[in-house]
Amino acid sequence: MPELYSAKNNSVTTIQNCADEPIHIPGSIQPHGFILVFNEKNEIALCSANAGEFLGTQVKEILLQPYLKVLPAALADIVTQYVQTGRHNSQVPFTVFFNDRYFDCFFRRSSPFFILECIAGIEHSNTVYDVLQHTNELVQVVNTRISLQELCQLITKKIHDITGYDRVMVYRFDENYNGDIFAETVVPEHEPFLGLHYPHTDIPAQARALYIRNLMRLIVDVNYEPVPVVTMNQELAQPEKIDMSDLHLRSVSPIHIQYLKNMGVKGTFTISLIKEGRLWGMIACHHYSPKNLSYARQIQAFLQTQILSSQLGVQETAEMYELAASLEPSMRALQEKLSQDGNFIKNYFEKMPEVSSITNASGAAFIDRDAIYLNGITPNQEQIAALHEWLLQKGQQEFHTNKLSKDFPPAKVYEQVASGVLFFKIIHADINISLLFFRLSQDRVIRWGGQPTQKMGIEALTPRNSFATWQQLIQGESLPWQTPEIDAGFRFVHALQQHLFRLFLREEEARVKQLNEKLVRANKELENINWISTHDLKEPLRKISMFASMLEEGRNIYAPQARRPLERIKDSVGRMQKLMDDLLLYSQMSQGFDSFEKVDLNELLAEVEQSFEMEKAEGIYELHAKDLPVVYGNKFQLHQLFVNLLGNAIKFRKPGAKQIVTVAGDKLNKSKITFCDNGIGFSQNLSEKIFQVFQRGHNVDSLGGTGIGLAICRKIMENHNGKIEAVSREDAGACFHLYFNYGIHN
Amino acid sequence: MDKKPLRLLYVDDDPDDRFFFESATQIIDSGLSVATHNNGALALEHLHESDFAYDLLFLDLNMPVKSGLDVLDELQQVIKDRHLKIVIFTTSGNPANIEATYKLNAVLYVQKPGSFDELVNIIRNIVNMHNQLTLPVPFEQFKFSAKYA
Repeated sequence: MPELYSAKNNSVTTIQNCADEPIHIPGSIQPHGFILVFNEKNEIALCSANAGEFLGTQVKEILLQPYLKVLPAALADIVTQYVQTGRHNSQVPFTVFFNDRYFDCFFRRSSPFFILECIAGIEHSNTVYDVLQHTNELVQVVNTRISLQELCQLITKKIHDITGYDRVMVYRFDENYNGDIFAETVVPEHEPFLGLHYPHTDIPAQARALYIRNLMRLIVDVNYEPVPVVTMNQELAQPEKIDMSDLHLRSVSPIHIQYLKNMGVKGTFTISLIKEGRLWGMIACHHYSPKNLSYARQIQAFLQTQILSSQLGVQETAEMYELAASLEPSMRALQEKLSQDGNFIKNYFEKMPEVSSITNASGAAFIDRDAIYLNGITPNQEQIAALHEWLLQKGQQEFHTNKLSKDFPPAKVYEQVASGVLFFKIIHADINISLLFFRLSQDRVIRWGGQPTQKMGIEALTPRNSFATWQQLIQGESLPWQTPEIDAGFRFVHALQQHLFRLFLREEEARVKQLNEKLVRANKELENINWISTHDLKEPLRKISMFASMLEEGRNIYAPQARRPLERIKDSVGRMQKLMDDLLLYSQMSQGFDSFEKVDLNELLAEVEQSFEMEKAEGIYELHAKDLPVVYGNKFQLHQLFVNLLGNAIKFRKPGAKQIVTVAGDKLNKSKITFCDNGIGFSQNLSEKIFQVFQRGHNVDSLGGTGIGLAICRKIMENHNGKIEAVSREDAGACFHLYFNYGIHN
Repeated sequence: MDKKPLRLLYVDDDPDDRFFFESATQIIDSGLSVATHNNGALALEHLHESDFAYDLLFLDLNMPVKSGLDVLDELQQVIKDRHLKIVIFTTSGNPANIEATYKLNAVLYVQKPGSFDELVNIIRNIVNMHNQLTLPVPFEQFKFSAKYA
């Protein structure tokens, strides 16, 4: 005789591992119907232990048998139909009559098996007209203006009428899945639960996941004896083998059953309320005696609930819209002031009530680098500064809470004025500027359906057992910040940012103007350098030079040690005089010029060469000039340019070698000339530095440069809207390219 | 050779320059008669009192109270009739000053040198050629240059 194996999950579930309890595979069902599980050969591989009873036979007679052989004809027909087409709408049952009863039958694929679920009928189906009538009434109400709470209240009444449960509630979750009874219809014999709160632990996460997956759940009698699902194939006697999560008859978590028993409830029916994929709440129907509900009525109640679900978003959107619209006048008042010229923060921030009311806050603070501006009711400056420090450390652009002291304990002392905080960081010119909104603590009393902090039993299957109403005073919490309020705050911040940017631009403009005036003054002063250097600076130098040379006259009477210092004084004075002459020249060249004329560079170079007659006579250098253009320019400055370049070339010759200087025009670029020599050159990485004042390519005092000559050349080229570039290698000569962008004269 | 010593009057508000001048004239010729004044007003007074008993007047331009140009302006009427010759002795190389003093009948324009040797040379040159310094002076020769030295 074959052995019967049960697929029931026999592991002990304790409250500590509640979150891991494998309740989607219970391996047993509720007794108000039966299931058959068919394998690939269309044999009955498993069935609920009560299947024989409903089919008028023994379980052992049907297990491992082809269905055609063992099922009543009416049932076998629909199985054949399913096997052949594979089509079945899980919402609409096959209604089958056999053994003097009606059954609502559902097929479900659970690869490689399929499951047939038969729920015993308890009444004849309602007519379609009943459904129509209830739905119609509800749709008409929805089309009138009605609050979400009123709509929920109406739904509980409707479902109460349809199903006859003692208590029908809309149970609503907050963001942490704590629940409250939002609407309720209850028979007079029982105390109302309306307004009671329940902790999130009452409906744990995996239970909520099931509520999303199966939108309806009926428990006929909490004291039911679970019916095991049995098989004669030992390999199938594992709960993991067949997923029974979606069965209407699925057995319920023992913990949930115990929870209901503790509440004194005998029969329940729940329908999930889903909004945007999230479990918004539930319709919870409680009965204080066992209660079965026909599938038709379940569907009818479900339909009402679907209408509510569809309205959840609509209603909340409408409420949010109204909230947003109520903030609009404040926004307009602020925007008007923000668009004015003055500094909004200094002129209006502390005075306008709209600054706080824009987010329905009771106070606000604007935090700049050095100042805090306050509006309405706020903590004091030091408290705000410390809070701001903490907010910045969070590194978020926006942050809000309605229980500040929970996140930031120092806020406990001022929680009366600032339990709610809405924070925005404004980035403005790399400076941290922030805007804070505050909300008063909203002290309130929460009525819990039982003390939520009560210790749970450590025995297996012991959810909390006290449901005596318990009141809690909530302090340090403000009204939560609603999305339209946060959005309005953000719009204000955005407008403020633009305002600050405009102010910044205006300040910058004023600064540039000031800078310009300063520059003009500085330039005027620079002109004075002519005067200053000729008189105030040059005079004492001349005196030093004179005295030194007077001493030299009588050098013979001094000790020899005195002669060298005397020479050094003269050298230094000479250098200083030359420096000042060059600086003077540089400042003259910096002033630009007004007069332009045609300058033939060939003629100019010949003129300049006369200044170096002596060097030429000594054979120190040789000049080759060819094809120089005629340019527009200032003759005086260009003369100076050539003097400096030629002088430079002569100065930086290789010792003992004749310096060959070539000055040539460019055939392709008529506005370019090149000044080349074969002297000692300089390292190419100095090619920019040498044009700066007091920068020299060679650290050789004996060459006597002041470090200004090439700076003057560059100045002159800039005055001619042109440029000068240097190309060189050490010991390989130097070339200076000159570009005259005023063009050439043919 | 006229044994009468050459009489020089040097007017400059700068005591150092007066010291350089006196030292230089001592090196050139101890027989030179040298007087100095530190401002133009005193110098004019002194000239009138001494009935212009000087051969060469070395005149600084940039002086307080009465500038060299003021002095020149007041003297220009009398210069033609006297043998007093006025040498401008200044740090300024400003062309406007050169032109103005030329028009006011100075005979020579000297920029103060940067070394004592040079100063000695310049004064020696002027003393030696003082007879050739007669009005009118060609403008090209008005400004003293090393070429004279």
